[in-house]
Amino acid sequence: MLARKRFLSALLCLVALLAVLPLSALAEEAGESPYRVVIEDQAELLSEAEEGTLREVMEKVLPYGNAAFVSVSENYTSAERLAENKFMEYFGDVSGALLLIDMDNRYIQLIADGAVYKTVNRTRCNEITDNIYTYASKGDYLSCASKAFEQVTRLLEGQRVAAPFRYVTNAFLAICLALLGNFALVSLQRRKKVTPENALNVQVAVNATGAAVKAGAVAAVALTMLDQRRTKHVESSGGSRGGGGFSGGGSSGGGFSGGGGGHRF
Amino acid sequence: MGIKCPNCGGGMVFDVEKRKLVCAYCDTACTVHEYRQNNAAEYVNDNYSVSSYRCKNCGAELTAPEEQTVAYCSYCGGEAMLQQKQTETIRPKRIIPFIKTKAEAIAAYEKAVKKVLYVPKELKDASFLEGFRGVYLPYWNIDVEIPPKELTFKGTRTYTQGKYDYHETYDVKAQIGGQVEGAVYDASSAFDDTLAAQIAPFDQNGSRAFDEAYLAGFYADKVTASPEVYKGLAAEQATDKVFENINKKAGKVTVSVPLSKEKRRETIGAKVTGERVSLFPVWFLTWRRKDRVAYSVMNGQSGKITMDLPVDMKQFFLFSGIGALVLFLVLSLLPAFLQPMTMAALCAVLLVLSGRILNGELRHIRLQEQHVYDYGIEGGKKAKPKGKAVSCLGASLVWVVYGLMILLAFGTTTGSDGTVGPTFLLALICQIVLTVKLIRNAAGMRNKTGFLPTVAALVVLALGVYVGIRPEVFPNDAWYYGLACGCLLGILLNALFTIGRYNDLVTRPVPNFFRREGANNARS
Repeated sequence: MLARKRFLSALLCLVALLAVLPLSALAEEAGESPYRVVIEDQAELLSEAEEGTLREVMEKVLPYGNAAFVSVSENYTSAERLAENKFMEYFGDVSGALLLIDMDNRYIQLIADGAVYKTVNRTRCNEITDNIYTYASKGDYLSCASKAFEQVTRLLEGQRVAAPFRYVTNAFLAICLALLGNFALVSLQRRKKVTPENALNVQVAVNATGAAVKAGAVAAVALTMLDQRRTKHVESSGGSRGGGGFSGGGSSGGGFSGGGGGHRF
Repeated sequence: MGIKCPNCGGGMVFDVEKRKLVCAYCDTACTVHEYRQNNAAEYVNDNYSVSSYRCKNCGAELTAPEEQTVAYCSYCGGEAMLQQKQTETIRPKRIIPFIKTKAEAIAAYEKAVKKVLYVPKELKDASFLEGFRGVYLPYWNIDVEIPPKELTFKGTRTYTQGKYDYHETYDVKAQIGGQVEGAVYDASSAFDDTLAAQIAPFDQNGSRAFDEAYLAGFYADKVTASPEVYKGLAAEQATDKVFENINKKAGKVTVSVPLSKEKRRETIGAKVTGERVSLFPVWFLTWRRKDRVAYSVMNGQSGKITMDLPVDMKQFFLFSGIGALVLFLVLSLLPAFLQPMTMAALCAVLLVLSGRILNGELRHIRLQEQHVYDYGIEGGKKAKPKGKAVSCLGASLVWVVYGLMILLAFGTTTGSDGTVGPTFLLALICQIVLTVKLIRNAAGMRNKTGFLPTVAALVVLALGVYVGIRPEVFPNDAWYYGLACGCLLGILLNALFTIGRYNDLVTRPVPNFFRREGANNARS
């Protein structure tokens, strides 16, 4: 009986062990995200402590993709081009988001690619930079970057980013467009072919096409040619002529396919 | 002038459906021709006697056969204010009898109204539609003579054939001469020329020699517009027609004809040789609210209908609200983001455009209230036609400025703030021009309006210029969002004022024929 009890206990322990082992292995896998955080503060906008704080915020993006913060003090291209180049340099075509603070152009640029870009698209990037540029203007770069990645995380978690100005202008725009559109509809429906300005002209046309004007008013017209001059025809050089122009270049493959938005500060 | 039944002596009316006179008491029916065989008309001169009803409210006059009363005024909708008197009026030469019945007029009206949104319920009410009234309207038929003569002009033709351009000059000889017979013009100063044009044409081949019997059961408007008003126009139009025919007959040769009115008339020498009155049938329905009236008028011969249909503002704003809600959701979900600078600049352009719409509407209300284009009213201020070239140049310039503003506004999408100031500056200049025009229009209107949105627009645009030219002082987006909101508020005000006054445009002020001079000039 005792042996049976021991055997059952051992079996239960084994079952429990078998059950727990894969779970712990899974948990370890989940902890090791394939994505990473990159902070490249060339412009030295953040202190070491601030970098640590920012890293914590940026790590929340990792379940969804890479996260990078880059600041530069010199930039010979546009902020957007530099951000794309940096993204390709760090992450290639893997999913992620990158925030660039371009001190040379006084411009902040947020871009995303891959799975992250499906949520954090160009419009959302613009909304986020629109919400954070004031921190950069005040020199509070930690808040600027932290808020950017907080909002990215919020979007990736399925929440919304507040864009109060956008909603206010949208509301005004919607009211104006609805009123003007409805008014255009009303005016078109009630539009009359005869306006006060052309009322008499219409009566003239009616008179002219009716029996009023007899064809006999002009019996005949005789034409006698007095002079004829001939000149060599010269083709006009305007219009659609000209050689084929540059029609844009194609990507040589593997380029940055995401997008983003930016804001001066 | 009562039309008595030959059988029972009761009053007869003209039945449109049967095209016969029918006794209201014993149902005896006969054609006008048959009636006249037994009851010869007694004419002594060019006038005939009628019962004339003058509206004490607006001064309009309607005539009706004896024993037939006029219950209310067709022009102002006034009731029980009609002053009756026996009077003489010009005897018309021809009359087009009614072909369309009252039932057909109501059916045509109902069909047309169904297609129009936000029509006030009372305008669809069956009892209101019973108010359709058959009125014979007087028209002047003016004859113009074109004296026979031979005219010589220069003509040119330019064309390309093969490798060569040809330029030819011609001697154009035109044999002209003939008669323009019976050009028609509205002879009632109470009946607006615009309405007359909207229900035109009447087929004069369907006219008959005038007989009072056709008027039985209907009303007739008096001749109140002098033929002198239209004589000059008739000669001018005949002259234009002759030149048009010369050009047509000259084919591809462009004939150099005189351009000034005086020179053209002198060249052709068109002369008015006579005028006479004809009566044309019209179904007339009047709606009145406060100091505005709306007319629905149908050509009693062809069935062509025109309606002044006011807008039910409650319905309009309800549906606009629903539309705004839907648009707000669509805009919020739209994957697009406009930079605040771009939005502010575009809103400034839209603000000026909406101001232009308001101003255009006010201009039309002024022209309508001043009867600028109604030649039948001699007292009205008449329009001086602008040259086509001048108006084309003006319109082109305006659109070039608008195009430039839009280009400048989109210039901000590159992230540059340098074009915001110029956009607002151009918009401000346009708004100042609009303000000057608005003041001129408002001065000629009964109810002055439109100042609030204009002042608001001026303030917002001036602020925009200040912010736009000093972007370094206003780096915060809140300024641009604020400007965009200000412009949108201005657009909203413009839209509300435009809509608020729209009913003034589609209706008419209650007429006042007392102060018009046209009636005094006509023979009565």
